[in-house]
Amino acid sequence: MATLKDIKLRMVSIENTQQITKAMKMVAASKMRKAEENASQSRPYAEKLKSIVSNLSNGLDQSAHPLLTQREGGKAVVLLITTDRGLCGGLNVNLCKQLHKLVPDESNNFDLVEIVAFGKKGNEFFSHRGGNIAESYRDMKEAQYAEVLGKTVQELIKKYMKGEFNHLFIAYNQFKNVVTQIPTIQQVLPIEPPDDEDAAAGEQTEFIFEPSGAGILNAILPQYVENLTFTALLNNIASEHAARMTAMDAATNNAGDMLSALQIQYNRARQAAITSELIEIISGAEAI
Amino acid sequence: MTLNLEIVTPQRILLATEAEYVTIPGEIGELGILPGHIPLLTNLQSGILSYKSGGTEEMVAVHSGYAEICRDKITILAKIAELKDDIDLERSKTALQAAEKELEEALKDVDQLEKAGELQQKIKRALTRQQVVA
Repeated sequence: MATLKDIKLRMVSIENTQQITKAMKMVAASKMRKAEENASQSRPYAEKLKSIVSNLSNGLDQSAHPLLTQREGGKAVVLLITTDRGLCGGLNVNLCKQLHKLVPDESNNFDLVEIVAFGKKGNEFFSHRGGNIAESYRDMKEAQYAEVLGKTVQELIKKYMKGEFNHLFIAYNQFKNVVTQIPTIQQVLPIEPPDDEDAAAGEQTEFIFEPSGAGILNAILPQYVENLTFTALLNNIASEHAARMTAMDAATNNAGDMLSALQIQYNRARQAAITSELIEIISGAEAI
Repeated sequence: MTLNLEIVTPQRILLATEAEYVTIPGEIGELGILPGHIPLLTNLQSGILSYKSGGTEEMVAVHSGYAEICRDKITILAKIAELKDDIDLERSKTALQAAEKELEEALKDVDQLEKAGELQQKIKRALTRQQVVA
């Protein structure tokens, strides 16, 4: 049976852990507020860009632009955005598991999946499982990731135009709210022209294009793709902090539960020790 | 009658204001926009966007993007846009010098044409910035 001292030692160690998880929760909460703000501030640009793209591509045939054209077979590239650090619940694992299921079969039209991993966790998951990792970026600051991601996407667009691969996906955690993050695998290339709600509502206006519709389309489509991935990155950062906050909150609560259970065990043990000591004294006194 | 001007960057809404008149650096030349303009969508090059609001004229540096003009509403989508106060003149000057030097090198080599193009863009951005501050 655990002695009083053993129990006390365990309690102290749990208390220490609880303090750490509590601090991590606070840090995550404040980082999340900032990340959430960034994500929501990026929304107007993304939405406007989307409405322009849908406006421009409305009525256009797929073959009007190489970035819109569906191509069969070939290689699919996945940009996998995960976190560098753990202790954020099932965030990365859920996403990676979902991506792991994305394999060539009858339901999709590619023969090979190649992964470009942003963040340590995604790289680790797939290198253990023999995933086909083309490039991997890790341990960078958020701004650096944004820059590298932008450059990578520009390169990928060039390669796509040359026909080196036929599909581009992006895998990330969409930030819905503090408790819900949705693992999302989204097709980026070929671009699926977005449905614009405004257009459906009959707010379509006839624009004059300068220099020309095609000219603008050429410039705006790569921009649109880049923005999709940038938004995904911001979403994933917000998701990371939200998930960590929830995970650390749960850990703090669990530590509290363990402490109260141990406290009861400690009190019982102390009472038992006193009782047995009393019995010894009384029986000793009776013997005299 | 006033125009509703909005400058949006990927990071945030940089500016939302009322203006009597706006000029934008269109790809094939400067465009002056007054209220009641017909709907127009155009590419922008790196340049100065100026607008008149309440009698004062303000300038913003925009570096490549799109302008959507819809009657009395102008939306500028710019990858980079900077207000006068956000521009670091010293940094821009040193960047300009460095870029000019690199460009000279790059122009000597046929293989570096792409890089030269990028550098020219860079120089243009730096010049725009300095014009806005001046």
